[in-house]
Amino acid sequence: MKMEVRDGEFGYTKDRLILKDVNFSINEGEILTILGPNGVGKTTLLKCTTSLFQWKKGATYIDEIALSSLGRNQVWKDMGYVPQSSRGAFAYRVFDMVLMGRSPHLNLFSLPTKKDKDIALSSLNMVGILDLKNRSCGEISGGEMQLVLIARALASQPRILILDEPESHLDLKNQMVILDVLKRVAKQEGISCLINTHYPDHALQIGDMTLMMGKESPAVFGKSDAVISEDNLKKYFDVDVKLISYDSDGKTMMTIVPQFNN
Amino acid sequence: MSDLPGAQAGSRLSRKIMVLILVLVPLILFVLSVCYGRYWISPSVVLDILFSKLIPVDITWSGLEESVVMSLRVPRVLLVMLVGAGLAVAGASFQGLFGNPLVSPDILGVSAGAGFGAALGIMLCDQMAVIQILAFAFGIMAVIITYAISHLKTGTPLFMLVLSGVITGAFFQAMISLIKYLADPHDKLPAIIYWLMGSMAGATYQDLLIGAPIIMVGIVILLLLRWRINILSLDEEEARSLGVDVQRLRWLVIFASTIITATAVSLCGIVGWVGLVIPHIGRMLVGPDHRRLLPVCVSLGACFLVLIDNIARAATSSEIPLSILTAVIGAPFFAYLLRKTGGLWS
Repeated sequence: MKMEVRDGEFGYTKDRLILKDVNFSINEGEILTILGPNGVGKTTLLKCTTSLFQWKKGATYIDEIALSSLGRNQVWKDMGYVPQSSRGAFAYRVFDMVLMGRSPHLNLFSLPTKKDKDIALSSLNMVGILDLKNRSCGEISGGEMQLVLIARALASQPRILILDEPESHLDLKNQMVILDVLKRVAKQEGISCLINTHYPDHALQIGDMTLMMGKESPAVFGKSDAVISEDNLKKYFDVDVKLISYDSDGKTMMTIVPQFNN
Repeated sequence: MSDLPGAQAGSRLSRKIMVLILVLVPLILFVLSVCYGRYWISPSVVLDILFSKLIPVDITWSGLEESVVMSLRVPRVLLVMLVGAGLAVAGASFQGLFGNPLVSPDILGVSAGAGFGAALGIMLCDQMAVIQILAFAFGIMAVIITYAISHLKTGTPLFMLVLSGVITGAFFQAMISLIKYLADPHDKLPAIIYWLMGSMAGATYQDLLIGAPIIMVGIVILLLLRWRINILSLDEEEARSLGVDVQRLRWLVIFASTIITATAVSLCGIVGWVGLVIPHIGRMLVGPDHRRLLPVCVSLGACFLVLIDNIARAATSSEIPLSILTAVIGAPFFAYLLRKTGGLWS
């Protein structure tokens, strides 16, 4: 499986483009992180990639087949979308919320079957919150809710998972839990992940590839440790940072330290 | 931290008991309501009369009893239960569709439109059929107008739909006032006012034959869509990302709810409160999942409205309009539940 975006272009109005010359690709089991300052169009990019928005030019391809030529249900069987945190008006049971992920596999008038329920349970298990299944979405924590949304996306048994800032608004521990789950999903289940994030550190930790977007400069795309450099962070985020390497269990890891000008 | 209602571990038995209650209570209420009236007919006689239509039974009752049961009470009780069930299911579906538990079935202007149609019919002539047809037609037309106002090239955002419904409703309310203002205050005006407050007094077999199938079609469509309504209650983009054609599904739900409500108004006037309150009570019993909520609303709505109607026809020599009773009884009851549960459903 390979997903590709070629020459993507999008604007909300005719005369002002937000996205231009968007090109990237993602292979099976790979994690692609998207970095960029606020307002650069990261969420818009995800929505165009998934066909929630229509590209004005260019297209998204899965295994060389353009998304626009696939039916609605086929697209959402291949892609699981995890929106920025949302709880909805009604506090559904966690299990019922995850079961909704089976929707692309069912026709309009049918109800989920035993098989769908089993798949929902195994998605809950995959993200490690099987014990929450009977709880109400209204009373679980933000981190747990994010895991519920990931489980719901996994319940459609997608080949690609698309996540819009899944670890924003979460505390350190929960950020780690989410990153850990995503890494597991990608490496063990072979599900590719496309992730918007505000944390270059996270991109270094789990991102195989990174797309860095900027308002002025054209986006760069490549291996995470090549794209996330002091120069690029200065250029795209207008901040001075130091990249520091350290040892963790014999592996060399990188981290980013912002330099305050005081 | 507690589980949701209907979701406790080992609740399979209690769920079966609840299903049994929700099926049996409406049946029992149906029989008792037929027994009940200006004069009491015993349940065994009522059951004999009902069964005599299906299988041979020794006739032990008078011709008067048979005609009271079969031509007066049965059509009325059946119709009122069907209207109650329909309004409750339509209300629950709309609350799901709008993702808002404060919505009732008339949010898109259908009741105001149908009320206007009925008022117009009463002013123009005395024929029941004309009044009913006008009520139904204007009810549907009001929702079509709401659609026309709210529809954009890219689809209909929910807030546009709600605001357009408010606009259409306000317009038809004004038209109702205009008709009242113009109507003859000695006979037409009281008839219009009485109609708008809702009554089952005029229910006939003919009403049942025409109205029942339409309401039932609406209920069946909504019951078939009940799991999808869960998804529809999420953000629009979230629902789309679950493979749902949100626009199409939304209009299907609106269509089904609208034919139910328009038919209800054309048969028995505007009956408030059922579509708002019953879904809340349903959520207290089984939680917010529409898969369970909608069937529960069928049962609760039927029971609630038939009880209200029994009170209506018993309380005084001339019947009290339904909308007064649904509010007078429904509001305190709802307040009690609200206090007791602390609004558990949301």
